[in-house]
Amino acid sequence: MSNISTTDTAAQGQLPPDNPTSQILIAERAKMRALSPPVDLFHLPCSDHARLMRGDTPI
Amino acid sequence: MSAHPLPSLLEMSRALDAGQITSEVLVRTHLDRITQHAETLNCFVEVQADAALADARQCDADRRTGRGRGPLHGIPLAHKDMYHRAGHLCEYGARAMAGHRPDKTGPLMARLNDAGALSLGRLHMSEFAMGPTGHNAHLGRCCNPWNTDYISGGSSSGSGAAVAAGLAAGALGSDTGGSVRLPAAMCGVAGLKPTQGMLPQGGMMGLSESLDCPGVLARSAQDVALLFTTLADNGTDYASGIDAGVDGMCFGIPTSWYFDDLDTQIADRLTDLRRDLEKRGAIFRDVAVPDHTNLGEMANIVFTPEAAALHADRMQSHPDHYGPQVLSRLSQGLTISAVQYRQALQLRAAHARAMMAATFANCDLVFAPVLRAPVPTAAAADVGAGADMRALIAGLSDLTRPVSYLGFPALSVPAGFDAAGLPIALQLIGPPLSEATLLRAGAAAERDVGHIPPCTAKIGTRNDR
Repeated sequence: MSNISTTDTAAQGQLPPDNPTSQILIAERAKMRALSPPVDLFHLPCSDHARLMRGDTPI
Repeated sequence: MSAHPLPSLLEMSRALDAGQITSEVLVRTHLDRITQHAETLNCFVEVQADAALADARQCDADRRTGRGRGPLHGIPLAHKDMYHRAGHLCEYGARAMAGHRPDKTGPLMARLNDAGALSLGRLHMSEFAMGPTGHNAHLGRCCNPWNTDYISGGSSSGSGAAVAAGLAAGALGSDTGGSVRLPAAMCGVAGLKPTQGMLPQGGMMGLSESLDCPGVLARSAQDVALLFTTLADNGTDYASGIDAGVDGMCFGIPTSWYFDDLDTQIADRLTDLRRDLEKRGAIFRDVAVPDHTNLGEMANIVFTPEAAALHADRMQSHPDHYGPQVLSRLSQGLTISAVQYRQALQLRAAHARAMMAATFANCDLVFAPVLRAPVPTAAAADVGAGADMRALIAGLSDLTRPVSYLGFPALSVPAGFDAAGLPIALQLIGPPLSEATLLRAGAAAERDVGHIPPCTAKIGTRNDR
């Protein structure tokens, strides 16, 4: 897991890119953008998962 | 369907209905077995014999006057020590919670109470449900009924051991990363982790709001179905049609992750099961699953900050109240940024949808193991076991934690035994709300365990701390 040094990056509103947790998230986001059609991560609410689990039509 | 050597919940229920036995006798029989085996297994935190007997007598009186409340009426259960009952101790397997006595009964316990189910006591669990082995720094470890030198699995350790040993007809557990499926698999019973969010999370210990999932363990899929019908309380009878078989049902064999580096004994048993199901009309086909490599870590990015948020105050004020491994794991959550946490939650929906499209569009259920390797010994999984121990423990949830992250329901059922005599299990994974299909397939697939667990006492291994 991570050993984040957050102070500087948090102040800049950025993720520390060399952090293992960040690297995993960067890789997973890239996978989603590479799908066909690509996942629009800018318009994907976290609550979409709960809707999917309820059997509702996801956004 | 499995014919277990110990009476099933269904058989107990039918005997009660037919007047062949009373709840009081049933409870006394279980209390006798608890007296014989519970200390050896270290699976009960507290046995509530007097209360269970009094409740059993009331059940018998109700039944005599025509006030039976269904198949769970008068059935002796016991539950992981994290489900609240008003006025009863509930200590979460944790020294920090000694004396905790909730003033309200949680919704799942209320549903079981309303159905007339009895409670024999509180069951062992990993401290704050953190740990897949059944070790507990405060309570000692829970032992596997098939061989007490081996781990029971966790965190619903007492639930797996007590049900397998015939000390309770069924039990509630909880599954945040595999904590129902792992002890079910290692102890040779059936364990259901339902769809995320399907069962209420109120009135129970919280660990990770997004991943926590109440679940149920019993000696067969049929018994799980009876319990789950009451727990879900949604008008569906999950036991109805459970014997319909698997003719025409399509099982997907994942082409990656789940069968990678699989122990040959486990692979052989699953192949046997596959052939048997094919003879009964099931269809098997290879299915792609989205890349699972990082999903366990993605689950941790959600789990650890949610758990740390709950525990932050106590971690700071009373770090000595935690076992060292639990404190270390909780502390990892303090290092996850809010942005990382939210991104992991957001990606969860995308991953679940990707699996729906890539996998469940091509099969009804995924057919997979629960564990890549045989059940380990307690010595190999203990904190003093050296450098390999950390990898061994992390690997235990390789095949369960990704499913928790995705939120899909999954059922573990017995598939046979390995050369050491420890259980091997099949994991069936379904799309959201596929519990009825999972239980039907599980009832067809599960293997008769054949004999009662020996519950052998091995002096010097019990209650290792």
